[in-house]
Amino acid sequence: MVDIFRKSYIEMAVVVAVVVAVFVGVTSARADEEADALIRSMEDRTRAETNTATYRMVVTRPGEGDREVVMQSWDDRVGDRSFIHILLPRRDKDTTFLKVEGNLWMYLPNLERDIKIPPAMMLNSWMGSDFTNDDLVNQSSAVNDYNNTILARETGADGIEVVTIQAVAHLDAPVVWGRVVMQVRMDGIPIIQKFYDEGDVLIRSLIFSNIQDMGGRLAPGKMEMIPETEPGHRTVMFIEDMTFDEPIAEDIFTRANLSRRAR
Amino acid sequence: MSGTLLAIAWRNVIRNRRRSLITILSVAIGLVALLFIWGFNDGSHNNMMANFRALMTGSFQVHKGDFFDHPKLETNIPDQTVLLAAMESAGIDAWTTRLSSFALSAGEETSTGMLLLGMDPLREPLVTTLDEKISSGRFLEPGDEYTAVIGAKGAAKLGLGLGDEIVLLTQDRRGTLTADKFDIVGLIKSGDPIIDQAMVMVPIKSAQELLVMEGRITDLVAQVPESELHQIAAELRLVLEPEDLTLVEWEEINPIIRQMVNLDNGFMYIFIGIVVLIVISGVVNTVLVSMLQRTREFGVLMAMGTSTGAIGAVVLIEAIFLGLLGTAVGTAGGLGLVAWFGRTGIDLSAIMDPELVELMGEFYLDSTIFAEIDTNHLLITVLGLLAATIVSAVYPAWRAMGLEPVEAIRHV
Amino acid sequence: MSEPLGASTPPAKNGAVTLSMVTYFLLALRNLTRNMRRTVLTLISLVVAIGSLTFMLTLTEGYLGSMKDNFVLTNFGHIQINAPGFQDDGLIDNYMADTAPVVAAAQADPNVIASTQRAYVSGLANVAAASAAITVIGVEPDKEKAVTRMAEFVTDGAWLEVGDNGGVVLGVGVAETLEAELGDKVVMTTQAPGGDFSSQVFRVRGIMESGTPEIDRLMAIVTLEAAQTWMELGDGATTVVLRVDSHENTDAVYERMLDQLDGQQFETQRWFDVDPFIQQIVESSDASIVFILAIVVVVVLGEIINTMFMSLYERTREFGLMEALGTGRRQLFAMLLWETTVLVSIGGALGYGGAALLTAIYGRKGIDLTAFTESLSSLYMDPIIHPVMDLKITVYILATVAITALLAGVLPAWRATKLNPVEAMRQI
Repeated sequence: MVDIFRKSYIEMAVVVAVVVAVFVGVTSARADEEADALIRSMEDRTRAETNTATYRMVVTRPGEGDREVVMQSWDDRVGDRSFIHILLPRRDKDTTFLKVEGNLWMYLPNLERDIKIPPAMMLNSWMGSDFTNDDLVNQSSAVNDYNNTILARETGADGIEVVTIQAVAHLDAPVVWGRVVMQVRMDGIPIIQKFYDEGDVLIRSLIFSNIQDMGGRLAPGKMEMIPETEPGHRTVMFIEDMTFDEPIAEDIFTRANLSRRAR
Repeated sequence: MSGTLLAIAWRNVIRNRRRSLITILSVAIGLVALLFIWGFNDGSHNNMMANFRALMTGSFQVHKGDFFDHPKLETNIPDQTVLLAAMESAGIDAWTTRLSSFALSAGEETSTGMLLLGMDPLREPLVTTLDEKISSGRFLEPGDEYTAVIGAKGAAKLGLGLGDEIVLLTQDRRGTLTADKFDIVGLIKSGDPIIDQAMVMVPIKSAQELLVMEGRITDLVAQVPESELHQIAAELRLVLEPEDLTLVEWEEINPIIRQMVNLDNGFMYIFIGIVVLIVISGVVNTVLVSMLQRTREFGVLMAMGTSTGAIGAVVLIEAIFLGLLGTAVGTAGGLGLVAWFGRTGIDLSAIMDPELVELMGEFYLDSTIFAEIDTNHLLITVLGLLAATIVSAVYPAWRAMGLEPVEAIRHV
Repeated sequence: MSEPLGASTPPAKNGAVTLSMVTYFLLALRNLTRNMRRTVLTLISLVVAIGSLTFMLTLTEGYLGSMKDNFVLTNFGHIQINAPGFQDDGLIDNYMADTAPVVAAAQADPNVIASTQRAYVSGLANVAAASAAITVIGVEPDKEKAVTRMAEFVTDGAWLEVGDNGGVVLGVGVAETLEAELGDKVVMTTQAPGGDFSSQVFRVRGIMESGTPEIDRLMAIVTLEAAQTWMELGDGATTVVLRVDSHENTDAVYERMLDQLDGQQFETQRWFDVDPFIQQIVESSDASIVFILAIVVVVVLGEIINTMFMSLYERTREFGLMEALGTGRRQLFAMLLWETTVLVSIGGALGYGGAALLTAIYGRKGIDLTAFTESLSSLYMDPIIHPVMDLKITVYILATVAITALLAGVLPAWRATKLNPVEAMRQI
């Protein structure tokens, strides 16, 4: 008698386990999908398919005054192309960068020629800031290279729901991070991104703020990158203005354009 | 009694002039040969090391912190007052400052990574011989702006020549990629592959501007006499270390040269051992012969009451005299040779294949070597040979002591 | 002397007799043995001189040989074949799309032990907190082991396995700059032919330390397959590396490769064509050997001539007697010269033999010099030296012995002939 009950208990346990697993699987699958969707929405909101913008970047280093760089950028996210024109400081004025597929060119006005930047020179810092060449040039989608799951949901005082997503890098994805933990509003506006290496050491944090109207949509106007391993270092990127999804002329993304800007 | 022994020994030496001369010559020839080789050895080593120091490295260098192990523009010397004051109080005049970093050098089609060296055109020639290695054009001059001197082979690799512009792409102190054009005013041919293929020298002011390193340097390079180096270095370190300034001596910068010298010297010592053995066998021969020929005489002496100890002592003392004379002659002759070749120099290109001589140029060797001998080496060799001579006499002395007076007298 | 001179030979024209070589030889032996003690001592001198000289030469030959071996087997191989111009610019664009002819030629060659292919490209390695410039080498893990010792230099972790296309072995300098450890993720970016950047992620399987800074500070080793996929090389490679069975055969193999391979497509080079450094050390060493030999001859002569002259004076009476009995000057000269020659030859032979024996013994064991020299690994030197005998050494020693014999013998022999027989006989 006891045996029969045990057997059926076991059976029941199995059934329950399966049901729970399926339920959890489904919900987490749905959660994963939701995470992916949210990330896509974030990327779309902050970059759209194309955008043109003016940025002001302030680099802080201990023991020295802040350095300011003002630049204009044209970004074709779909075509994986981007063009940057430096406006300030005077020393770097009219330096331009062109990234097309897997190639990066830099033009220096005093040289009157462009140079193809080989991988060995693409050391981590872009223009001496705490953003890397990867950040500005290698915009791989977080959806493709990472496994994204929702960790938590909270509703802030302003009534807006904020989702915490964990993006764990695929083992074979060519990204240096182990995982990225980000907080995103349900409307796709990012709040904070924390980058961890594979040893789970927090390497840097990216904080978004100044949410305002940008070219007709709500987006963060200020991004602050803090390298956690270098005390006193900080880079702030202000978005002075931005227009989304306006068609960009083809000749922007050409090598000829590199020198044209200087005139 | 010992006075008498000495007199007897000395008289014996004089009496057999021919035999003594032969023995003295044996020792002398060995010693002369050894001293001559040392002269060449030490002369070429010192030449090699001096040329190495003089070419680019200097006797010592000073950097900030751990710049030597981890070269970064951030690790620089912003204010050189303390450093230069230290140089002055140490009485060092031959110093110069540099700014060193890496750059991508671009020609028309190709580009290659190079060592970028900002140099002081006025002071650099006081310290190094780079300015003498110019194969065409000229070295950097005070007042130069954005000029460059580059190795001839490196220029060829980039398809550039005198008068062409070279683009140097590098990272400034902040990490921003920056680049500028430089006019090639000189080509260098030094024999050192790094200098000739992977280095570009520009005026330090231009480098400082390009790299946003105004007023800052990364290296101080100085020359001091080699014999004073260790002491000067020790004194300077006391002053520099509190400022987080690190001093490295040339041997730390490139240990290979010293290692090669030590290896060579090691082989020399083995060679000395060989020559000592040869000399010993030669001297034993002659001393033994001389002893055996005086068997009768020793017999008589013993019969008259001279102790065996005294006999042995006489033989030994004779050998010592011969050794001293031989060593004296050998040293005089050897040092004389060394001095003569020290002034005239040994012209290798006359003896060796000219291609080989050029090869040796790459090892920092001149084609004419001026002989020199280090005091340690001299002392060890002379004392070694003296000791050898004395050791050689032991067996014959012992034989002499074993003589039976009666039989000895009967010996013909 | 129990046999009167000239008894068995007819008189020659000028009245003196010509003796046979055998007679001179026997005479020499007899005269030498008459004064055993002197002969033995002189022999000792000779044996020590020639023996130690020979041994020094075999030691030098040994360490030079090991230097060459180390250089060749650490990384370069005896011969490398690239696309024309690759050796100069090192650009991946200059790769060989079809290496089949090269591999076939190498495999067919009787003196080539093994061959392997590589793809070199420069790039950047990134980890989360650091980056380093690197040279990526795609290798064939198994074939590489048969050609060079790179696999043996792995100090931490393991060498790559065939098929492990996600693994990388880093030079210790690179690993230090990146602060990377076994199992860590490294993203490497390079340029494919045509110039497009491409990034791939690899995991550290091993860390290698060869002792050569150029390798240790720059190398990141992956499988050839991984490199080919990553840089879209198809089945191509930049370099084929050959290991030849001995240094002596390198030139012959080189010539054969030049013959068989189309010079437009393939550029063949020997190791010393590309990096003459070691070869230069070898050559300058050879040059100084002659110098050393000369010095030894001088020293030995210094000892022997003395002995010879002493013997001369002792036998003055004997020579006087001989000349009075009819021995011609030439015969006397010849006899004395023979004596010296025999003496020096025996001494030389014994010395050479002893050194050869030592070489045979230590050739296998090796002599440990770690106490005397610091690590000279960047000079490609081992602290343990194995002496090696070579035909060249034998020839040098033979020449040295001959010259010594001649020089040592001529002067005393000539002096002997200058004796006035009457005065000589009066000597006691």
